[in-house]
Amino acid sequence: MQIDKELQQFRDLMKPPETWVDAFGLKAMIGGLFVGLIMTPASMYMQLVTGSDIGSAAQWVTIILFLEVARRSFTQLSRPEIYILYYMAGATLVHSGLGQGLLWQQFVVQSEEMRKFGIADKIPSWYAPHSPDVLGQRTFFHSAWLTPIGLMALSMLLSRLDNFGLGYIMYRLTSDVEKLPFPMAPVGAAGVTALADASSGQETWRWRVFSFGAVLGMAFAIVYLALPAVSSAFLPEKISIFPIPFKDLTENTEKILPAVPMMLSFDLGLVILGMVLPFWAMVGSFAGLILGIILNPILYNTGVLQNWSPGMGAIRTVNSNTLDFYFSFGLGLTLAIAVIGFWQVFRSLAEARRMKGNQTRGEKSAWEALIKPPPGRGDINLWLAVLIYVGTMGGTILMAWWLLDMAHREAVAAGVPESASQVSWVLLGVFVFYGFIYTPIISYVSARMEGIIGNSVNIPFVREATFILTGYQGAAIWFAPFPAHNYGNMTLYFRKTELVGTKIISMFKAEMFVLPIVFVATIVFSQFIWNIAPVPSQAFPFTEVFWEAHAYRQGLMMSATLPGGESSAFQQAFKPWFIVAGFGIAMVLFSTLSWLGLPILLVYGLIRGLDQAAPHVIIPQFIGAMLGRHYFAKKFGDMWKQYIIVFFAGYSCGIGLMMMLSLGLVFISKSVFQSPY
Amino acid sequence: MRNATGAWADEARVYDAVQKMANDVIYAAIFLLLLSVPFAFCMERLLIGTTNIYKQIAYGACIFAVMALALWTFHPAFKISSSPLIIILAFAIILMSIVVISVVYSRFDTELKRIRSGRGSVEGASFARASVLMSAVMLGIANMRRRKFRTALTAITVVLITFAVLCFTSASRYQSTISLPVGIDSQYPGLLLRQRGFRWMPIEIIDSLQAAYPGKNFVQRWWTLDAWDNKNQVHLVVPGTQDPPARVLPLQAMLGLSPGESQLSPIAQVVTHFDRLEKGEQNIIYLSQATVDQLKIKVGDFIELGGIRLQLAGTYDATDFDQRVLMLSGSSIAPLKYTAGALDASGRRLTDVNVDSLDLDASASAAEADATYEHLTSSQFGIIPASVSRSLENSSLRTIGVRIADPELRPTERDQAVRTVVDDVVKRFALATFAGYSDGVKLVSASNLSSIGGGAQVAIPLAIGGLIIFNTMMGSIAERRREIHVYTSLGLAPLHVGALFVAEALTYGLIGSVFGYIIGQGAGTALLKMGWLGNVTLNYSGTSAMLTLSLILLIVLLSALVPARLASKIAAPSIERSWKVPVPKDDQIIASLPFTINRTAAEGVVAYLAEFFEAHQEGSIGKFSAGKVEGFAGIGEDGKPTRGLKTVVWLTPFDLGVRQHLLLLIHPGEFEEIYEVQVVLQRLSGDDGSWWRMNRSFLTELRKQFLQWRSLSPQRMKEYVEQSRAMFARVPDQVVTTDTGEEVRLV
Repeated sequence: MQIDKELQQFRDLMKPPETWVDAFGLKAMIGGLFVGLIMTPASMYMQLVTGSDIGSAAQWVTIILFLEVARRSFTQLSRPEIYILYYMAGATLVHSGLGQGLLWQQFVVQSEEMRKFGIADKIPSWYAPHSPDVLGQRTFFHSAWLTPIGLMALSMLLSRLDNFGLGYIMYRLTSDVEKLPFPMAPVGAAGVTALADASSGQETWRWRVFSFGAVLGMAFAIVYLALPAVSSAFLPEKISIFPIPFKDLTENTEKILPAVPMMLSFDLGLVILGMVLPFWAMVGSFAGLILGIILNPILYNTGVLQNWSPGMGAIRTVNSNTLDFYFSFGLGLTLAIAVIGFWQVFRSLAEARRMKGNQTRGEKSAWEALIKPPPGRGDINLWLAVLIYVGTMGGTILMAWWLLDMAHREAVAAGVPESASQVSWVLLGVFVFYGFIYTPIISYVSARMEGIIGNSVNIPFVREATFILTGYQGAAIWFAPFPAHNYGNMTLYFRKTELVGTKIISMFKAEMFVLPIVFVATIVFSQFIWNIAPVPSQAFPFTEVFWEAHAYRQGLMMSATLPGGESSAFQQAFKPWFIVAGFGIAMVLFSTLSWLGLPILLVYGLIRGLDQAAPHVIIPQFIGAMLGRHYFAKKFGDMWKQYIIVFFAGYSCGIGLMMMLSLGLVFISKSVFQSPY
Repeated sequence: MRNATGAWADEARVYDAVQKMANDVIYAAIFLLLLSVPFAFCMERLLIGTTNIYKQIAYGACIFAVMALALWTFHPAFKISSSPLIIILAFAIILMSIVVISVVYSRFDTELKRIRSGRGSVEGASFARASVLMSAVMLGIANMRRRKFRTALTAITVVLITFAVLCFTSASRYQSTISLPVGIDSQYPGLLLRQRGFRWMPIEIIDSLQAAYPGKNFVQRWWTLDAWDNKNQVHLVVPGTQDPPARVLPLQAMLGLSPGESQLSPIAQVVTHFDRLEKGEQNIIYLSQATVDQLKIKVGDFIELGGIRLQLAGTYDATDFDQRVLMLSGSSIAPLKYTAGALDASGRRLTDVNVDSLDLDASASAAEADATYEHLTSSQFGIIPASVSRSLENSSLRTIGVRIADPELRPTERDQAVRTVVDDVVKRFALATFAGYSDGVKLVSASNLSSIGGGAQVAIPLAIGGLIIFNTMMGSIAERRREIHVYTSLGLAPLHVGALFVAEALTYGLIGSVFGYIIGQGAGTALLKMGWLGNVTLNYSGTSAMLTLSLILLIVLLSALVPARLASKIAAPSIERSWKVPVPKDDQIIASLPFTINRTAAEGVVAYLAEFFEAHQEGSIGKFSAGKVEGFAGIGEDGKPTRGLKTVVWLTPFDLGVRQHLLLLIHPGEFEEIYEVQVVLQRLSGDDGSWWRMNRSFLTELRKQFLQWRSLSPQRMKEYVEQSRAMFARVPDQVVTTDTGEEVRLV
């Protein structure tokens, strides 16, 4: 494959080591238990009370604590060990926030909004029991919950196995064959490397830069995150210096730029991220944003963006534009990226076959790179990965089929007509299409984008549009597993694992070890929390405020598949000509810019920017990119790219630490005596 | 109704107090959990003292878990909290975050120090106070382990003192009224009630007052104005036809008064025909003469206000009105003049009507007593009956006045009547209440006060406990004389030696007080359940816990001060226990630094110091700035080999203009192989006093470099020796010329 100079520069920023180590051992297991027993209940509770979770802070706290203990016991933690600890800590955290988890399931079936939409009584019993007697006991240790919990366990197992199926294959394709740079991979790896250096007592620049980034992150987080969180918990009025997540300027600019969502973010992290990500990708994104800003008013004036009206605000403008134009246009752009990607892969494979006789000794062809991974990396056999993918996807499809059939029989037994909620062969065909055609395509596209510009790709409302367009009647389909996944993100994890010198098999062992912990933690801590008070209730303020609102939005969507439901919104959104337009424009841009010899990152960035990119993300990133290239790179020279990666890792750590501390304080305030009035 | 409103008022106060108390109890539990962390650490070191870090963590965690379990069992915080386990989890999260943040920050600090020192690598020992304290605690604990029996007895003493203080002291809260004289004479024996900052009052208050005090006439004063936008004015309209046309005059506000006002102020003497309002006439209005002239109307004419037809009943002179018609508090009866950003006496915006703005505690009352607000002049508003004002837009009740006692009564009887009513009113309503007594007007408020009892009962046990600890520490010093001398010879300053004993005593205090608190509360709870506690009440409040434990630690600390001083005297018997900058003579300071170096190191240390000074040439970091540094080596006047360096130094703060020539000499002393360090400082500019004072921190920095030199690795020292060989020049002359051309004679 033709190598772009900047791509190669990123690829070479951090080279994988010569040998890899299986780092899964006692320390990793203790780390997993530590996070599972201490951090998980805190994280779950935090999500219910404040809406935020500990997230990456838990990972950093775990590894830094373990490092300190190791230092005091005069031992060291190697880089692979630190990485596995980091990975385990992230994998063990249970999410019980909005829209997921057992607590959400018990809420949905009792939700007032769901009841108003007529969905509550149609929710299948394999999702959550309906009986008020069962729900009134507020316990998951009841026979009625066996099926939902069993399904949860099966889904957990499939999803964890899943990662080593298609996700692994995508990684092999994008990293080993296409040798994409994965610009975000060195960020995580660099942080781990910095900590490993500190553990071994080496005085390298990494720990210095990491600590500087961490302190900057902590200082910024005090003002940006901690102050609003803690003040709202302890004072009558929240003190907030910077608006979070952004300042909405749409209404200020709508007279000059109608239908353009205009937001401004004050998150310093975005500026620093702009310095990390490839420069031309940032330039391209910014150019795409400018084009979008010019395009939207034209689309509005020509009647394409017909649902927008002044005074809508940023979020509603984005939603309205998505339905009117960008849903289809974005589909076209995504298809174009997929086609370009396939074309590049096939071209490189064809070139490799042509050059097979001419290749120099030691140089691998693309096919060899795919089949024979670097020795000692602990890779999984490629055919085994394919088998895992086929098995888990097939299992998901069968499970969905079986559950929907069961729901249909339940509905018929309850008096619903036979024709309603019937599981047709068309539906099965759709599942198979999504499982074995859509999923590989979107995963590949996403993996490529992740590998090139550090961003994955997602097509919004695909699931919803599919359900509506298939003509399915009923609510069960919304609760059944849907075999459309995106494994693009997993490629990043595999690449990070490779860079830090950890065998891939270690990840597999970590996932399997973590599975029972997560399963038990989910049930036990969900039970514990439900025991405290009903969810939602005053004891969990975030749930009391936001859960019904979220249920309303979900209900609105779900009602589209009920008899008499409104489906016009999604039918309106699906416009074939706009798909063609998106596809055509992307292909023309790619061809023209490639012919002009412009960097490939610019092209991809431009395409990203065109897809209704958020100004509050792109603008600070662009500012960061310019500062990085024209000021800091000149000041620090060749080492700049390495510095900024480590600095950003430290910055993320600092933000996470301060957020964890402030959330702990908020916890205390919420745990005190709560008066009813 | 009276009893009902009284009960409601009491409940409102109690509700808030109960919530605060419950929160206080929970904060007590959190405070104890916090103390349990160093307690668990100290107990592990004391009882087990394992060398394996993992076991140390495990044992420490077990001890912490036992303490937490004990608290969970008897402390009410875990019963009244909505989620008690979450308190422990939150505490664990905060603790872990703080530990990790401090690890990361300390690393950052080290890196920063390295940059500030100008050196490429971090060298030398760090002298952070925290690490010295930690070492002192560890040494103290080690000593405590050696004397187990004595340690146990001393710890039991502290436990018993804590127990005694807990059981026999109590802090209780009660409600009382506070009266603050306003400093003016009262116009009538009665009350004036208003909100803080003259904010609006709910109309229901009138019903409550009337129900509570039937027969009294509560005079209402209403304001019709827009406090948020003073451009939104009240318009008086004189109806007209085409000729003459209608006339409109905007006014800032209207003042609505109810009958009875003339008993509270001399308004009837200022406003003509005010009796009409007193009789209860509704559709009338009173305006200042200036306003009437502007409207070109006369008494008896009709005008419209908010669509209501009112007859001009009387007029008044604006100046006279402003001077004479005042409320009981001494301020004008007129509405306030609202401006953007105007604040009340406590600093809150006048337009802020949150619940917190309306609450009135003792401190807010004091502020209100002294507050002066700006009122409108009487030409800027008109007077209408309160009932008319109520029906207008932007109207609200602002003040209430009531005459309590008859003027015929004697002053003491009048005061008693006022006092009875005002004490009851302030406990029911959180309002600024002005009471008119015969000796002047007072601002009365109700407040929650605390009283601490039982102090006398525990004074003697505290004294006994303090003396026991004092005796223990004295015994410890006597046994450890040799140990103290060892510390001194290792270079520990006398102050740090004393700190060792203070740390040991504080460890006794920590262990004893935490243990004593938990045992005390636990035993107390058990006794209470068995009914053996009698009239003794246990106190779980956070304030009480903090006070008790702080008192114990203070007693322990005081007991250890004298022994610590004795220990530091043993460490350095001479009168001078800290190095002082010598007194200058002829603008020169010659200081012999308390360091000795061997011959080989003498060469290296010059290069080390030269690097130190060169790092300060830029002037943006550190406590001084140095000029060009020159090293030299040769034979001195006395025939002994001498090495050194010279430079010019500017001391911070640079504004004082202190500049000096520095000559650092390293030469053999009494023994040939042992070199001594001498520093000669010649003042070049700046005043004497500042120069001498600023050299203390400069020389302290210089001394630190010698200490850090000692902690370098041999390899590093060797590198500096090689460096210095390259930089030696000649022996300095008696007269040296500085960079600026000045000649300096050395003594």
